[in-house]
Amino acid sequence: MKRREAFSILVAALVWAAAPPEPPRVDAEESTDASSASSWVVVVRPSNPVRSLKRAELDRIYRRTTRYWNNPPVAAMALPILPINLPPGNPLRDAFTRSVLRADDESLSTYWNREYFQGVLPPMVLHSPAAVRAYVAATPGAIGYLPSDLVDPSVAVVRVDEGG
Amino acid sequence: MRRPTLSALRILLASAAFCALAATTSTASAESVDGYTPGRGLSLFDNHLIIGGYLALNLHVLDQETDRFSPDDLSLFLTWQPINHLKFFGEFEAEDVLTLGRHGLHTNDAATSLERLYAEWEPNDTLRLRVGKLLTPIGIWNVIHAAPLVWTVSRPLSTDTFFDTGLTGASLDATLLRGDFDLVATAFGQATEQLDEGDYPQAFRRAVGGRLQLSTSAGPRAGLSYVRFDDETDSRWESTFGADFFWETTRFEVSAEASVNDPSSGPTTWGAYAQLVYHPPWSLRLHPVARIEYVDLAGVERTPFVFGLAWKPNLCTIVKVEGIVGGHDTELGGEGMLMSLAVLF
Repeated sequence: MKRREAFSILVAALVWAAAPPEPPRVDAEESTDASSASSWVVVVRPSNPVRSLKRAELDRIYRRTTRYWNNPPVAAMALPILPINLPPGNPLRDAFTRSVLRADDESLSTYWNREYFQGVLPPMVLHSPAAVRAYVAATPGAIGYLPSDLVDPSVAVVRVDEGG
Repeated sequence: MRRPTLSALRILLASAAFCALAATTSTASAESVDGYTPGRGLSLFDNHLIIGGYLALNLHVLDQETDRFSPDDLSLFLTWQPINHLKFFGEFEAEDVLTLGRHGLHTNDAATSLERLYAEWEPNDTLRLRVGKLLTPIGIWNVIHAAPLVWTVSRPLSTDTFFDTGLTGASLDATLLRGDFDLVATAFGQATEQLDEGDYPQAFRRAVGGRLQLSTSAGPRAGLSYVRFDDETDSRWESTFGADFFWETTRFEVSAEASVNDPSSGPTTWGAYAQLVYHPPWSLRLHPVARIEYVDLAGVERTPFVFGLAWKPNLCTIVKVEGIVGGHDTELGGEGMLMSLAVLF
């Protein structure tokens, strides 16, 4: 194969890949699932004094750029944040990720691959909202999100403000 | 100009092998508690020990190099966090373990290296200290250079020509978070011989430098870097200045870097690149990539252009094919095509 032919094939592939796609179709069932999944609340252990966070702060926590609850001058006292996620593909996780991180799991994969190269892993995954609630209730520093109807006194709700 | 010697059949076979390997790589979720997760390694002891790495298979068909097909990089990461705030990280790399070239299968180019080995102490979100062998914190590419993390097989010349890519010493990051802005100031230095020195155009014997990086919550990120170093290869003191910019949106990733090397004697050299990656809105996960570079290496000026496609069949695998034009008499190896399959494991 000559170089010119190889380049021609590559250019053709580039043009094909860059062609505009058909608009995505959203059916009524998908739309209903997405709206019902959007009613999440953020929770921490009741002993954690934090009761409100800005969206940008929560974004940093779930991207693990903010890793400590407090940053006192005495270094050893900073409490690590343990953010908890639901599994990829869970509608509640999708709604949370779109709303807080303003991204989806696929677009975040490049980010997490690069963090993994620095020894940083994404938030831990638990497989059900009930498991998230139990873990958050028992673990100092943990933070998670739940469907609002699963909140009980074992966890404290954190209000998420849009600003900043 | 020499014609590429690998036949079309061999290129097609290699392409088919790349695609078959990529398609059979697991698409399982890339996160879990303990146990193995593709692309996130093997987590043990409640995530206190993580073993992972990556593999890159490359096909080079360039007119100033012997055509070759090889596992270019086999890299192993080890992260051990015995207690909160303290972490140890190591990366061990085997390069060109087996090469298929004009003279058949051989191991002549095989090499192993210690890429990184450091202790990290992070008392809070403001401070982070690393001591050991690190990637020199200059620019964008050098600290994320692994094949599964970048969009092209070839590396921009300006990202490893004007400074040593590794540093044996310490770096201290101070982070300031204010509203929509994050400012990270880094100071770094090396006072000893390099641990497991590689074969680089500029090799640090002693070095001191710093970096300022400003990020915004809207996405754009810009950095300025400086390093003053004693070059082990020619015993000159040299200074390298760098500037970089990165911005990713849902549809595009734009990155650019420039580096200027100013030695105590001899000519000043410099280089720069700008790269654009398109993130398509549909599910094929094919990302067109284009990069323009410029290097001025003491009178030798080159303007290589790289254009290609990157396919991400799943979250931890990337297949890349690219063409290079204008890379003659540089480390790029001339003009031609490169292909790669890279997998994080």
